[in-house]
Amino acid sequence: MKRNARLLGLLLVLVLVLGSLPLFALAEAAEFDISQPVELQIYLIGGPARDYDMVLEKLNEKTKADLNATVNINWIGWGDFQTKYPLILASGEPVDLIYASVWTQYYAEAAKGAFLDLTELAPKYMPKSYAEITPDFMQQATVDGHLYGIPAEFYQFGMMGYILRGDLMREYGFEGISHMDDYGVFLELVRDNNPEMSPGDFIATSDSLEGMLWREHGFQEITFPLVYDVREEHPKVVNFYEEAYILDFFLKMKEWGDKGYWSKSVLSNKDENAYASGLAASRIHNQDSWKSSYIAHPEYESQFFFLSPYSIKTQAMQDGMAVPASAKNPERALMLLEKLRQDREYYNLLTYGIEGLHFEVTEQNTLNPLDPEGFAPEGYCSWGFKEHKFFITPEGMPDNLDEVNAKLEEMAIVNPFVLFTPNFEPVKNERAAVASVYQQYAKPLIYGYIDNPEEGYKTLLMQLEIAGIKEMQAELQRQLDEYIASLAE
Amino acid sequence: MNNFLMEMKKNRMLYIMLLPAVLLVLLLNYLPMAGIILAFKNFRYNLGIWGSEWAGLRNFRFFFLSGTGWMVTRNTILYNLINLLTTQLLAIIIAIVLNDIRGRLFKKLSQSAIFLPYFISWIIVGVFAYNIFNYESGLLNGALKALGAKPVNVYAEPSLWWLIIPSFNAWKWVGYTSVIYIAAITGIDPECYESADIDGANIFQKTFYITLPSIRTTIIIMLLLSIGRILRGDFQMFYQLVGNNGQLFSATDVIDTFVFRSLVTGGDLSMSSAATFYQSVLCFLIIVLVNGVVRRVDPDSALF
Repeated sequence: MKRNARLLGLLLVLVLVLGSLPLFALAEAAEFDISQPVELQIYLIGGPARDYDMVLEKLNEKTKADLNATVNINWIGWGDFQTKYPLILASGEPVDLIYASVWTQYYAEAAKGAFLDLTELAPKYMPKSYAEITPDFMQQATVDGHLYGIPAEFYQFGMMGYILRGDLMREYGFEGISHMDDYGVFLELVRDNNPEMSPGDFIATSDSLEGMLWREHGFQEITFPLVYDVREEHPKVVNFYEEAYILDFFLKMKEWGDKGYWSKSVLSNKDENAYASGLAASRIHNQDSWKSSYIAHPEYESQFFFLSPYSIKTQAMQDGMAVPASAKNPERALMLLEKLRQDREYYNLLTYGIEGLHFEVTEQNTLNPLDPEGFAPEGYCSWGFKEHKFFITPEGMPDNLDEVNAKLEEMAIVNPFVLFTPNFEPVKNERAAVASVYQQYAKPLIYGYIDNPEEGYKTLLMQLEIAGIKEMQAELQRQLDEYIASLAE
Repeated sequence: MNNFLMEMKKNRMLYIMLLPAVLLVLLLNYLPMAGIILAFKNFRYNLGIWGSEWAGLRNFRFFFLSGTGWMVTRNTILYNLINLLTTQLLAIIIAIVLNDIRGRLFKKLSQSAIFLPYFISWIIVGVFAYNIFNYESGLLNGALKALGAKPVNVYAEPSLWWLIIPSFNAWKWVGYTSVIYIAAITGIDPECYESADIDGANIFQKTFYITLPSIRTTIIIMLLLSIGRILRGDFQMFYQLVGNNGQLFSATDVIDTFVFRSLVTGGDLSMSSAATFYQSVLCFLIIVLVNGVVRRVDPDSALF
């Protein structure tokens, strides 16, 4: 007994002595204990810049001093991120911070328990950035009452449209696009006047004219081909292929395909750079692609046209960062995120590279990329912590950018269902079957491969039915109704 | 038990030498088998493999929902059979021919040339193929047009792919496979050929009466090993050559590409495990069946 007491006393002394050591460090870093050096494992999507290691070295000097942490960045390549991203989360490998977005299945992964709940950690370890999250974004990032991701405080009014070579438009005297058929006119002009070019830059996996069609009818995608019109008070989940105008569309696509508006091998084409490399005269993509192709090739004078009846503010989790459930140092990861979002030097490093070497800020307060080969601005998955307050407009933006932005903002509507995140679990078999049917029976129709579109269309509808589109539609309608009912409460 | 210990003691050096291989197989082939359980679970990362709830056969449903499951199973088996026969046959022929070539330099050069495709990744081969078969600017249609023939749209004509895929497959694998046969042929006692020469046998007689019977066991083992993979489509090959071209699926879709396409958006581990499980069980049945047949006909060549 006596011996035990002595041991206890010794222990107490030890605790006091040891405890006092990091006391100084503690005082410096507010209330957090960062006495242990850690290495933060971060996963980003894409590939590093040539000079990324150089930039990372600079960043690590800062993190070592500020957070007693070093940062190790791992890349998930574009080629296989769809398979690798879920695998990394599933493997349980310790990851402290990861890029998260709706297109990396943020909601599905969150529902599967892949991310750490930040509801209590975030306000403590990244108080400033937490306070900046707007209520609508906060609500959108929250899943079942848990905050699983920190959305980047950046939004725009997203829009897909037709990107056309302006120099060719001028040459042909082509005015612009106010109907899909106008695009057909442009494609024909290219085919006749510039036979060395492909009129449109299409590949099997990219967005096609079909995507334009449902957008022009005011639909939003739930999981294709199920769509809904968010302008309705109580929207119906619609099977897009049951719309009356679809057959006419397929017939038109057959006609366009036969006329050679796109390659007859388009379904096996994997080269998505035809527009960027001057081999194609147009493409279908979003306004960001328009801007970047304008900057990359000012001589193309790229123009952007869109026919959707409205625009919608991008979702909160369009870009964000999350802490995987396997994280070893979630506290330090959030402290780093706070730095990235609140300290311009941190932000600039990972977003624009090293000042003076990779970029400079001009007198007009625009961004001049000095060495896009070494480090291209915003090129390396820095989107997860993108900030309006640190954003610098790049040089060489399209002349009519402000006009386009104003138009997009003017036509913006509030999507009351933006938080409706369907749970596909009950219909996952049907969803998989439908996805396969879409590739097999719809894609060939969209590119005019099918000699008899009427027959092909019937087959498509039948195959969708067999795959269980009706069950899926019913289930999603039920979930949507439920969601609307919960809104009313 | 005593016998077992005696045996162990007697041949302990042999068993020690065997140990690394046994451990490796246990670690890499048997241990992961427990993963089969995922196919019957509703896997959630945070609950782990054991904590996730049971799903019964639900994960298998997507496979047969649209009737595509049967089509891709058929395609997978057919392609493997065609590839198996063409590759093995060509490899045997090449091995025999190479063996009879006397010029050392020419022999080495041609062997290397045949082997080379083995090192070229399917991604690159896919680009080759696209540049050959592209409707507008491809090599094939360029040649056809120059000859005054009508261009062919290879990427819209499923039946052609029954020819194209086995050709690419053979081109890629023949060199690699022939090495095994060359090794087997080198092992044949030269005295057999010498006495055949004395008896006046010609090259065909020597091939049919000496070479082929001598490498029969090798051929059968190679066939058995390939049959074990009969339900595995070479995903890289099919995906890189065909891509997401739905127009061709009736002739080119195999289990692996179908599963990839169906699940890539959902990213459901349980459903992909279910598909793998289906492949493995069928493979197992087929190999047991074929091995049984071999054991009846030629007991020495059977695997087990």
